[in-house]
Amino acid sequence: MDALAQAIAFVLQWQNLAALAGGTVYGIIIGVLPGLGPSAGMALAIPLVMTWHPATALIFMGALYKCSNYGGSLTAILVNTPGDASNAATVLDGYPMCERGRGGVALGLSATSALVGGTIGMLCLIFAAPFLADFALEFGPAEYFLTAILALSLIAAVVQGATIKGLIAAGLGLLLSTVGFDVIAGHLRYTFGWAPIEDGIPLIQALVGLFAVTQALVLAESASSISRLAKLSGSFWEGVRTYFLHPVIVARAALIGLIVGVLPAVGQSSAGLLAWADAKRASRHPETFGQGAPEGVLASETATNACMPGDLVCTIALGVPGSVGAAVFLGVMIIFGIVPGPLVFVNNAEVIYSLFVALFLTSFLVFIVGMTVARRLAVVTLLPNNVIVPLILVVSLLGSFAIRNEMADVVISLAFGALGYVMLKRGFTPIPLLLGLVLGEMVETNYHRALLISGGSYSIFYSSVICKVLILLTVLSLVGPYLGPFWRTLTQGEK
Amino acid sequence: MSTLLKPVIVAAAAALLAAQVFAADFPNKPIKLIVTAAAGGGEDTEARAIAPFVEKHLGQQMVIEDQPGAGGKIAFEKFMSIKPDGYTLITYTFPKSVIIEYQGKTGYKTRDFTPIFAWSRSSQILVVNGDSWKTFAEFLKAAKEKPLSGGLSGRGSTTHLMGLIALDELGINKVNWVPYEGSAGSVTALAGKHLDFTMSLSTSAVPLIQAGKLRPLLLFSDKRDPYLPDVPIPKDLGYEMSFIPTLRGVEAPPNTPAEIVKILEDAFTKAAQEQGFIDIAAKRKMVLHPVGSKEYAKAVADVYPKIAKFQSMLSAK
Amino acid sequence: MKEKFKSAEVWFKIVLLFVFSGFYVLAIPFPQDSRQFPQLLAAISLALTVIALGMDFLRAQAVAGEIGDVDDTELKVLDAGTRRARRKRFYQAWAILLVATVAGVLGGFLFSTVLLFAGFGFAFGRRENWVRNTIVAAAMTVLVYLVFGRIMAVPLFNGVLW
Repeated sequence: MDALAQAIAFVLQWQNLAALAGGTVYGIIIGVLPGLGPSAGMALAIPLVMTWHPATALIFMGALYKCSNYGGSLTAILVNTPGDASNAATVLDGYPMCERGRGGVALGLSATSALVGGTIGMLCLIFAAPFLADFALEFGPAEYFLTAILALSLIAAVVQGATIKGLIAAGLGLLLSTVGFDVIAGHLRYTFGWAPIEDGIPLIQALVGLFAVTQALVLAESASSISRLAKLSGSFWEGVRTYFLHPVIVARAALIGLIVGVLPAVGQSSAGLLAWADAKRASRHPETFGQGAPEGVLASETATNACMPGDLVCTIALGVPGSVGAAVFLGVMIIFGIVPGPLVFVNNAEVIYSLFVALFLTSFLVFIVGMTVARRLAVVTLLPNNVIVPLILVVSLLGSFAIRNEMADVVISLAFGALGYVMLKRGFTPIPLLLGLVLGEMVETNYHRALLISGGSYSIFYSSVICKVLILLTVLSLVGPYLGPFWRTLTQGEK
Repeated sequence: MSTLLKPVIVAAAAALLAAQVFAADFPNKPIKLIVTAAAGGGEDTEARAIAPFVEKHLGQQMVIEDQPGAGGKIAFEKFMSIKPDGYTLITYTFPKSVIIEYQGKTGYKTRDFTPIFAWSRSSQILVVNGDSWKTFAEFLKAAKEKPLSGGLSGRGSTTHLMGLIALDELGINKVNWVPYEGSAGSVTALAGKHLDFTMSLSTSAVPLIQAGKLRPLLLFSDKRDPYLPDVPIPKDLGYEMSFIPTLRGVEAPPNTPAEIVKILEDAFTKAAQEQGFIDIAAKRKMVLHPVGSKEYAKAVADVYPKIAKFQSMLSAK
Repeated sequence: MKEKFKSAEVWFKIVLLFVFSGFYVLAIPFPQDSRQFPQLLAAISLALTVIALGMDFLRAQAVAGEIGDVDDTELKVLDAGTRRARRKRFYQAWAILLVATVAGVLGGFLFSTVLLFAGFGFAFGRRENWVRNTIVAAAMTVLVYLVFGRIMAVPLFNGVLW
């Protein structure tokens, strides 16, 4: 613990605090712009931090990476436009809360989620990183396949009441995920010779289209501003208080976020959605979800904030990045000579522990930012449509463009915008489609990989303990809703 | 006839003159460097590492733009029609673009590009889990007994091709190749004991090798890697193999004038000799191997028939 | 009215039938491994869509038998009025988007920015505010140029024309 005390003293030096604050603010701003994402922000900042002390540079980059998610939640709540795939679930309840004039409460919830979720995530990272990394190594293709199936099985929860439509949307998403270069056989599928989709349909661009463009179109059509009640009521602190009324949801969401984060290649986009679906499943009033239920915002935001530190576990402890942003962070580490891997805790202990302490503090900083700034930002919901519609379009399409500097990506976003709009008007929700798009590759690729390893034998899918647990969880999640009433009648019968 | 010829000569002379004039004050505005990989990956990081040093020697800013689409194919195709004035360059990991050419119809040919300079080189390495076979001989025996599962950084990638060549040379009958996207996935799966072995680029496996989780058994190169001095090369064990070293460097569009090439090549050569860059390279365990433009062009030309042969091996599988 | 709404949904599902069949058929020439997943998904999705359509028809028949047309006429008129207005705004929005995108492909993203702000400002903003709207459009374009073009080095002039 001596190292920890040293690290704390180090972080409290003014230049590190400045890096911390700078990274946090910059990260939040990047997060607010849909499509841009922390990877672009970090890559652009590399020339800036090259001359700094390694620990200071990593603190800046780490804070950037960790806090970009909060910026995304702001746009998700206020404008129904997730900043990144990880905020997609927050729009489900955050925006309806805003429409009902309870935006302040939603903002309070999301800030508190950043605080609590981030803290839980960081504590796990600090105390359990090597252990978590070893856990992640146990996941091979068979386990990843089953995890993706488990995630898909939660879809039904997202669309309770219109299950068939949800499944169809998911099916469409899964099919769209097959477009492009097939990792296993190397075959180009469904591309019709159009190069921009050879790597597959780019996820962020599709997300921008499905949510931002669609939302802009819906707004354009309705000729009013976002907040139906032209008054922003609902207090921030009420949101904070509400948060602490649901410790069980917090615990579950944080757990889901951590696990999703720790497993490299699962993709952080799913963390929020999975936690949301899980909270809805477990709730006594599932029908309130999607209409402005505070538990929805709580679950999805806590999970996403716990996910980011989890992502750093494998990046730092194994040298394996779990996401594009983590890959950039890894690159920065290497530039400074901090070689990630299990030895990093021995060789570069001071740098790593300073990083951890600093990241721990970012959660509090984000909360303070949320407390002071978020309410002011809420005024954006009162802007007239002719300003806010092009604003959303320009910012999100720019983000979509800037990822690969490809105008074709803008076209892709527009196409998805059209699709999203049509779906909304025809009674389909785009969330299962997003989930299918995100998880499709994980399902198919790992299925084939597992079979390649086992030489075609299916036994690999139930060989390890983790496999068996995953299968059990999947079965439970599918059967669970039916067991619930059954169980209740049993116990009530006893009274 | 002669009336046609005269304007042509005048035009050619004017062009030459213009090129000289042009070259005289080249560069006088920022230079764009297109990186055909995603931000944060190996190629992008190396480009961003060398850029500041090149800027010093050129006196102009280098602006990096990532265009990773389709493994770089989109960027390569666009690059064919970019003005060859030296203000736009492209990086890539050789022979990546050549392999892409053989995978389907492309709108470019690597041999048309003008090579400038390559700064680093990496070779493929065969790694196994730290708890399994201790020597290459043991591994070879096991591989001949039954089909092992081998990780790859991608179907049709340099690791795949090298793996096929190795199989051929070593007399191994069959391997279940498991493709991943990039080396990170296959290396992790190996560390978790889900694979029997992996073919990867040496730089990708270094962290886990150093931590003892993975053991390198063979380096596919004609000389040992200075950062992994204990790893044998095929020559040491008595095998003859052809290799596919991966060179990382920059190129200019087709028909770039020679004077501009020289200026750029000089700047990059000096940049690669800067102590600051060498330090960074050492940290990344990048093997520095400066290759001038002529050598580079030769390497490109040489590799075409090799890749053609290997591609046919690839489609046979 | 209920049935009219349903018919829009029904059309979409029919379109989906074609889409899923398309995915299935296009996958036939793929090699074995590449083919399995898409075809399985396409088949399942196709089946689900057929079921959904079936349920729609069953429900429509049941509904037609129950509700009379008494209350519908008034609602229909109101609906048609707002619907026309919404349609108009919808088409305007798409028109602006398409023109702006073409401008972007030709000249670079910055032109899209200008056109989007100007277009929406004029089409959707109030007439009296046209000065303010123009200023907003110009200001936003400059802002985008500074922040993204200069600071973040995003190429805003990537057009095909030059």
